Amino acid sequence: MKRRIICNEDFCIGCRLCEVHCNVKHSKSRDIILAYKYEKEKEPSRMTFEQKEQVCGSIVCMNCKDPLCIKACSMGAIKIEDGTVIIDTDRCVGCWMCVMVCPFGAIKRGDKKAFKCDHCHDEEVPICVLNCPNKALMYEAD
Amino acid sequence: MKYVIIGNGAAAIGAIEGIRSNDKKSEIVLLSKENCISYSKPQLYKMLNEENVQNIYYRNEEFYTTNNVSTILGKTLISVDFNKKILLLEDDTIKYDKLLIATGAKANVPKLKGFDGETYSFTNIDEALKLKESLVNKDKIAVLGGGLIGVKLSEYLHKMGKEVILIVSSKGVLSSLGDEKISQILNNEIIEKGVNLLLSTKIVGAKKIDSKIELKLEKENIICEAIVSCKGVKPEVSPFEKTELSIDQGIKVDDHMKTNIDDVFAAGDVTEMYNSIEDGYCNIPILPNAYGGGYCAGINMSGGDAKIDSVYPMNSLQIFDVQMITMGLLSSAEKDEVITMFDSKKRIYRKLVIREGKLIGAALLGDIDRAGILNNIIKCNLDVSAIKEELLNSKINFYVLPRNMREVIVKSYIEGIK
Ligand SMILES: Cc1cc2nc3c(=O)[nH]c(=O)nc-3n(C[C@H](O)[C@H](O)[C@H](O)COP(=O)(O)OP(=O)(O)OC[C@H]3O[C@@H](n4cnc5c(N)ncnc54)[C@H](O)[C@@H]3O)c2cc1C
Repeated sequence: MKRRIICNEDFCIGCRLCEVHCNVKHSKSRDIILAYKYEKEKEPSRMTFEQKEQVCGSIVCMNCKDPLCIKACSMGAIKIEDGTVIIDTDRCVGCWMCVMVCPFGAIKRGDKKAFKCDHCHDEEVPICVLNCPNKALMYEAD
Repeated sequence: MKYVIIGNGAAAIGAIEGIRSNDKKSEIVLLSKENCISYSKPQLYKMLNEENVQNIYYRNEEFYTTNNVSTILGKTLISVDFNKKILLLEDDTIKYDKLLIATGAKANVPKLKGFDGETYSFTNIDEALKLKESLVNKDKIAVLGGGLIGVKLSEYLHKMGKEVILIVSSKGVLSSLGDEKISQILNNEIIEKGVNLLLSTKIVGAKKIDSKIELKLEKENIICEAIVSCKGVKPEVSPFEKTELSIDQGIKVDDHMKTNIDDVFAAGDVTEMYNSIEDGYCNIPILPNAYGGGYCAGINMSGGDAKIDSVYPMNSLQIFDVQMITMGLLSSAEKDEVITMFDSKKRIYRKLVIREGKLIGAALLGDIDRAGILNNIIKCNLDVSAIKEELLNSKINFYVLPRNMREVIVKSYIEGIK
């Protein structure tokens, strides 16, 4: 099974709630107020919102069929688990070879470790999709 | 079916994973002259510190049993009888049905005139450990060669508290990238951090004087305690030299990683492959090519049909505080359009090389985020005439690409989009 989050740009209005909820989901408290007001060490959202004039949308890891990041990783730290591309942070050394090859720019640089969308594998539906007010974000599992 | 893989680097591991994606049962034998499990060469520098080899393993220790691979470690391939499909070791022979050659590359170590001492190199664990051992009572180290390995090694040695003299024959470090600005930025960075960088400097010879070494340069003589040669690598083809295997800069393979001999495949640093940007066969010794080539070979060896993506140089590296990613061709020809952006305050440099509207090379210094978007534009040979200024000047943004282009890209990477 492959999990995938796709953005229909015709419906995206650029509210960026996907980024907010992604942050909350991966915060310590998992509480929107606490996460935003009081948690100091906040990772950037795993979701990237982008805009060019009227066109906008959000993009995350597409769980590629033949992921280039796996091939480029110098530590063998990236693998597929239950249909999701996973970065093993214990092995990751921050060489950014994955950043160099991801065609969607979906792998981000944290503190010496790469991180990316985990497709909320502990949730039935990813949080960003659940909270997208305009249903621009769609969730697929095949 | 019996698969045999010679080598235990990234290409070999890729091949195992490629074969096992098709064929879970058949026998796989892996032969390597190094007596340890696969490790990551880009992390080799860490071996100089107290870290042990486990920290740079490329896969975990269970990898071989999980994938049902029998390993023969610490034994060297001497030659191959391709007609009889037999590998000859020092004291043994191995039969194969399908063979993958993934013997990698070995260090170029130039002979220094008048020098009978040890010239160290730095391309595998044995060499790294040998250097480490010798460093215990040495403080002043000469590193020869301003390529990637020479520069990174100098940085590591410097951080270990050694006095480093980096001797480079060209005008700047990483000159093979073909971008003077990058060389210049890195030269400055390296000097600023305290490495003694000697540019445009050739070595005439060397002489041992007690426990020290006198290095003879064209204009002066310098004293050091150890010499490490980082003058590039060359494909390890010695077991195949007297055979019918087609070898030029490396073992020649097609886009299915096949050699000119039936049932014999090759991948990684030992090969030369078609480089679409250069329109010729090249040896490109980088890890993504090794793993990717091995994986592709593995699929084809086990009855699948995989074609290798277009290959060209690319790398991600950090030299002291300069973070950079380079991709494709940066040394432009006259017909190419070159656009650059430099922000000296933020220490950001970006360069795009465009040929007939298509992006063929890109360099990002300082801000490397989302470099893969550009890399994919190079790989897919997309026309960037209309968006080149944005690609150069804005934060890299997928939505800069026209919608139809984006849709094609998304489709090509995912399966079964509804
Ligand atoms: C210090 C260093 C830093 C690097 N940094 C980077 C980087 O930043 N980015 C990047 O992309 N690439 C980097 N590289 C290059 C990268 O490591 C190689 O491209 C990659 O390891 C090639 O994999 P390979 O499987 O082809 O060969 P190798 O990893 O070299 O493996 C060759 C294998 O063949 C075995 N072998 C050789 N001859 C025989 C024989 N006769 N009999 C039996 N076994 C044999 C060896 O024991 C070894 O297991 C670096 C390399 C070095 C040395």
